[in-house]
Amino acid sequence: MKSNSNPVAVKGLCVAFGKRPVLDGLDFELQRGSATALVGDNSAGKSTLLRVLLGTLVPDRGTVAVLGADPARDGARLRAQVGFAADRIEVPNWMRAGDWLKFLSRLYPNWSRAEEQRLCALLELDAKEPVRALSKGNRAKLGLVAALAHRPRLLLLDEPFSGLDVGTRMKLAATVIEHLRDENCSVLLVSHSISDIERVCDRVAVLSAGRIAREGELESLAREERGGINLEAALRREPAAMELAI
Amino acid sequence: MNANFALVLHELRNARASLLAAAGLTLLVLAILHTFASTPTESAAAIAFMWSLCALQFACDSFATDLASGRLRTRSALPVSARMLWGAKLAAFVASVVLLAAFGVAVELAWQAGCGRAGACSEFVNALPPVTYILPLLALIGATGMLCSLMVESALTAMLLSGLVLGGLWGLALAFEESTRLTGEDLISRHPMSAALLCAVVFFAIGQIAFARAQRRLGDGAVRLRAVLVAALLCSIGLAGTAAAASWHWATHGLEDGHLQIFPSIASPDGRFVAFMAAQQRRGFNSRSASQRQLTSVWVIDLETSERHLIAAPGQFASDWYTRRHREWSEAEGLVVFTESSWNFGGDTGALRLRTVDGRLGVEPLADPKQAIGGRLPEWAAVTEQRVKNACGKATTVQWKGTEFERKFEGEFSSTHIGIGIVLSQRPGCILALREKQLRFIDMSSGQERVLLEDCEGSLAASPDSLAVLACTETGVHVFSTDDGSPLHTPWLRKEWAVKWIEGDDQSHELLLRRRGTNSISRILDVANGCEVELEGMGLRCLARIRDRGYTDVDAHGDLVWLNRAGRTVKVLVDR
Repeated sequence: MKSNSNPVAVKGLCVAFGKRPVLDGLDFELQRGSATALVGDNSAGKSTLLRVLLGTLVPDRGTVAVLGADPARDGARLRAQVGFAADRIEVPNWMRAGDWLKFLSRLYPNWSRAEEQRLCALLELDAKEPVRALSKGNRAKLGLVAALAHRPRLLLLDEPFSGLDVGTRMKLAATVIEHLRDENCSVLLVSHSISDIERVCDRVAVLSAGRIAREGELESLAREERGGINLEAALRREPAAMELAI
Repeated sequence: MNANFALVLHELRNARASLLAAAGLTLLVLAILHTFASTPTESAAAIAFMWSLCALQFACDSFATDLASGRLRTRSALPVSARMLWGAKLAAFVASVVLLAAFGVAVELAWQAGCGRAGACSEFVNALPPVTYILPLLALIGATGMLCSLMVESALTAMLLSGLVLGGLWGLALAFEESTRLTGEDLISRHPMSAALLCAVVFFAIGQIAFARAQRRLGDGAVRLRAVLVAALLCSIGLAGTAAAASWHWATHGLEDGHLQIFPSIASPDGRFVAFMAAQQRRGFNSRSASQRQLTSVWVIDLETSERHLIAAPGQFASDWYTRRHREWSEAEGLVVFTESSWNFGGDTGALRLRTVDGRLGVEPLADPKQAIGGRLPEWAAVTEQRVKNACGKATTVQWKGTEFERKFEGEFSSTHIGIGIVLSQRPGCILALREKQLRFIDMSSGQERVLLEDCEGSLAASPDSLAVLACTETGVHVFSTDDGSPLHTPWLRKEWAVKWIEGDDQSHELLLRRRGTNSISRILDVANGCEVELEGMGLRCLARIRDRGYTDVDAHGDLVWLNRAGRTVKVLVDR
């Protein structure tokens, strides 16, 4: 069955905060080996969907299967096979970057010390640098190393490149692409930046009113304007992204 | 390294600044204490206080700061379960408190060993609160703090919230205690630490469930409101349930409750009714609370029909009812029951008046207990130590230092102590007092003293009408006038010990005599005519007169018995 082979399969997902529904009957499948961009307005529920997929948020209704498991039940085991990088990683200030990675290595069964060092070298991240002294870009690099060093089968990225300069964005995106190619993993990227999406993704899903309004190949959807959804406009909301796209 | 251990170690390293600050604060407090030459006991109290304070701080800082900084969100994406994260926080809290406790104790022991006097170390260790008491309290503080820490995003706010919650818990415990005491039980006073531990476990469980399963809902106002409503509903059901159980308990067991103790009775003016108090001694975790709080009920028995009436159920009266002033029964006033705390005179709790109209009982609550009882207090009201209170609310102060008086009279209305060594004379400014085994008549204004009796033993006892005072020597029983100290009767040269006056409302003077060294045989001596009645097998603790119909007393089995004037049993009024 197709849904079983795909790393993410969501059906009828409903999540509400108080009386406000955020995800309302969402159906979505992430195809194996694909890099899919999840786009939509602010507060559309993109990060909420990622939290559900990670198992840190229990949905009100619906079925969710990530790598064949239910995140609400097997969240801890699942997170050991999933890489997750958020827009901001919060690490205690007394730590050095290497301390955080060392701490993570004790929690991930598949953590590869060699991969960690390779990624640090690739991204030019100094593991001895105190976290409090890390720039925003270096924090993003630390987050990406933490997400990739255990060689995940699924990568969930929640605006990991936002607010970074072009060079850093390109470097991070290249790292993700390399991982995508080498490990044959699947990527779900939440972003407002069309250039980031174009660099990394081959598919796009548009989240609107708590559901996936449109989904398909990046190139075909980018030119499409149908059903009240302007993908180009949705992708170009972030000024920085617009600038980069130009 | 094990993931659990790594998490706990990570939490401890996160909390090291707080740990260092707490250790510094402990040092500062101990230094200040020793600067002012504190005792090891005070150091132990300070350390115990620091434990509580630091436990609260550590617990409140568990999640609040992480929530505010977003670290908790980062950590929630780690490949560990929420339960593991919660457990790591809990373990780190426990380890922090243990480390700080060990540090405080070690520092103080080192100081006492180096600079303290001999035996100070053992005194300090003995003064530390027992683990069985401190652990449940720290657990409760920790559980409350961690739970509150999940609700807000500031450790300080969590501490304030925890204070409110702990205060609310205390209030709830008091309400629950007052409710359960009606059932004859005293759960919280008997098992305070178990209650604290149970509460802590419940709080830990709630926190763990909330953290593991409903993280996103913690900030939901509607959920909080629902939780408060559910808690209020549960409390209401619990309190209503205990009240219902109380009604069932007293309706079912009544006076046959094996734990009840019957206290002295008093007869109605016509001799038909006998009123008495029954109390269930509370088994509090310290003696003071046990003596302060009894489950007191007031009963009236019709001697002709043996019908019982519960006049005041437990809960209406909070304290003791064992001195004469607390109950009076006259034609004019009816039975007046007045209770007050034996330790704090300001602790008046209530009064009621019982009237008999055509053989039927009627109860009338009294709005102002002091006013109702004030004019009827005995003038002599003997008090041992410092103060003697008379009927009008004025107090006479007799300063007593060792065996010496400071002669002083003041109009002070303050705490009263039931005494054994001083009796006020009917003559203003004079007292009868025991000093150096002598009964003396002392004029407080002039300082003149007159020895009335040598080789006195035991205590003085004033008669119910306050006109006479009873004193005993090894060989005889003596009665003196409280007006001028003159002997009222020829001494009875007997080996029996005069225990007390027997109370009755007919102004008769009778003494209860008890043979030395035994409780089995005693006599009643009529002061007026010297007639004696021998009693056998009676407890004699509650002996009281029923006019000319005889006496009531509680026998060795705890039964309330009606005796005739010849000392023979007429009827068992309460068979227990």
